[in-house]
Amino acid sequence: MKHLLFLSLCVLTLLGAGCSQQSESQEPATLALTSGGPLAGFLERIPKAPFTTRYYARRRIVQNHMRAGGVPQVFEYTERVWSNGQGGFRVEPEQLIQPTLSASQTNLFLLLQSAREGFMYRVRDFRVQDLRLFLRGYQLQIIGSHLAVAGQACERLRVTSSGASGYHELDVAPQTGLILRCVEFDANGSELGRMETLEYNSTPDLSQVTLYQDLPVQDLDLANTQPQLGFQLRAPGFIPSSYELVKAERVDLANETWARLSYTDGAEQVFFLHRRIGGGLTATDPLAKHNLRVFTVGPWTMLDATVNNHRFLAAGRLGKDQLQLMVESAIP
Amino acid sequence: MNSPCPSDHDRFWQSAAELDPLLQAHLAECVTCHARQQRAQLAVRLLRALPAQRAPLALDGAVVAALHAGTRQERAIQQVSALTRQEVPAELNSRVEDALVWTAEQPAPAELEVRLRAELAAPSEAMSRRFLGRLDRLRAPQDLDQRLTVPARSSSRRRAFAFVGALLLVMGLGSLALQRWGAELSSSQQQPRVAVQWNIEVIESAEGLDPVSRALIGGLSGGASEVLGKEKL
Repeated sequence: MKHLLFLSLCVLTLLGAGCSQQSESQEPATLALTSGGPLAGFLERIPKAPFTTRYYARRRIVQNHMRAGGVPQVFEYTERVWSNGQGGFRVEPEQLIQPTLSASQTNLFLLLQSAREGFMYRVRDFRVQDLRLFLRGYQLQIIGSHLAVAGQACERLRVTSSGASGYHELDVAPQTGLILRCVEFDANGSELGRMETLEYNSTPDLSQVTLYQDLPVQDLDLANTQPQLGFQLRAPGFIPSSYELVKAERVDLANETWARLSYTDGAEQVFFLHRRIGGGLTATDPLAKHNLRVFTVGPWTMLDATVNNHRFLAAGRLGKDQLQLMVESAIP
Repeated sequence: MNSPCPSDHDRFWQSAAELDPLLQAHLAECVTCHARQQRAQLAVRLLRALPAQRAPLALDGAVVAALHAGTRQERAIQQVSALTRQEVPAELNSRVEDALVWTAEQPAPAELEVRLRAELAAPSEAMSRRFLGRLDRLRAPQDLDQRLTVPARSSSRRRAFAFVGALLLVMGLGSLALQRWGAELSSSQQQPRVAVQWNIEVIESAEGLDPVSRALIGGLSGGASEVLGKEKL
């Protein structure tokens, strides 16, 4: 009988280990970076720092891509950023360094960069979007202290995602929580891209700076979206592992009403947009039109799906399969 | 025969001091040009005498609206749409054609065709298969190895216990594997109920996207979607 009990205990122990793996997370206190630690409140400041810190910065953005056939391609530009510390900000593209484009293409690129400044300031760079989720899905390690970036003392953190093979190194100013330099590496330690601050001023003159004006956005009442959208939202039932819904909004884009759902794993973001362009769709309706357009650039994927009278967009730093599952799980 | 009179009458709007000496000399001799210049100078004086008009109040609002991010974006998109496609050199055309002909002559392996068809038919299943293949193989405890290799002298009762235990262990490992697979797949997912047969179109350039999609991927990728692949050759 003792054998049976022993083996049963083994099984239960193994099951227990399997169950507890999902609930593992790093508490801020254990990292000695939050209240009570040597750098009190450090981590808590990071998510909101871009909006609560008044500053001016000139930054360099570099992305190392690989073309078909293994040909490397570098995308590099500089930009200037202002933040009033009260939620207002401005991002002004300065110079496209690589690749070399014609003058008209360069001007068009700079114009488009300027037009999407809001989205880029909030989403483009690796940053902590949600501290609770971030600590659950990422491992943190301090690998350097008192380093200088654009004259500012920084702590260097290595951030490793539980689900990805590469890692990020962040240089963070502890007093503000602002990430002044971020370098992404693959599993072999090769650099994939970086954002680095070249100049920094903590007391900028903002009198001549026109701050970004947000597009009109309404928070969505997910219990009943019909009154706000004019149609019933089809939200995805499938959500990629470690991601959670953090925002649901109604947005008007190019004179069209869309529902926009934002998901994050704490740092990366995935966007799911839905719009109805005609009558409804029930489970018994035949799928008359079901087109899926796929666009990929570097690690980012964009899906544009049309199913009968519904359009779904899904975009993020995920593969096509994951995003496709999201779209398919939203179809009645 | 060329007329000695200047064709660029715009210069007549200039004040006498600004006119170059050659033109001044011509005006002194040519009655027609002199009359034209006098009329132009009169128009200048009359225009300068007009009271300054204030810009309409609505102009301020119109300027602010025109500088709004959404409007700027729309203008940018209009500019993009209005760009004319550049003709490629004939030599490039012929090289691409040659490459296409060569590519068309290379048949894809039959295995690839079968796999592709299966994946397109049921993408969810294909994805599940891939995840299953990534699961780590777990080793059984050494204790179990020892007990299973005990010689036949063990009693039938012991063998029965070992069998039941092994069965439970296998079930436990299976349950663990399923949990890990489930966690890998999603934290709260509900598998799609409809198996959609998609018409899949792979877009090669951001120009093939509609404005909303294009802005979304443009922002996410920091503009890489607009630039990569467009460099000067």
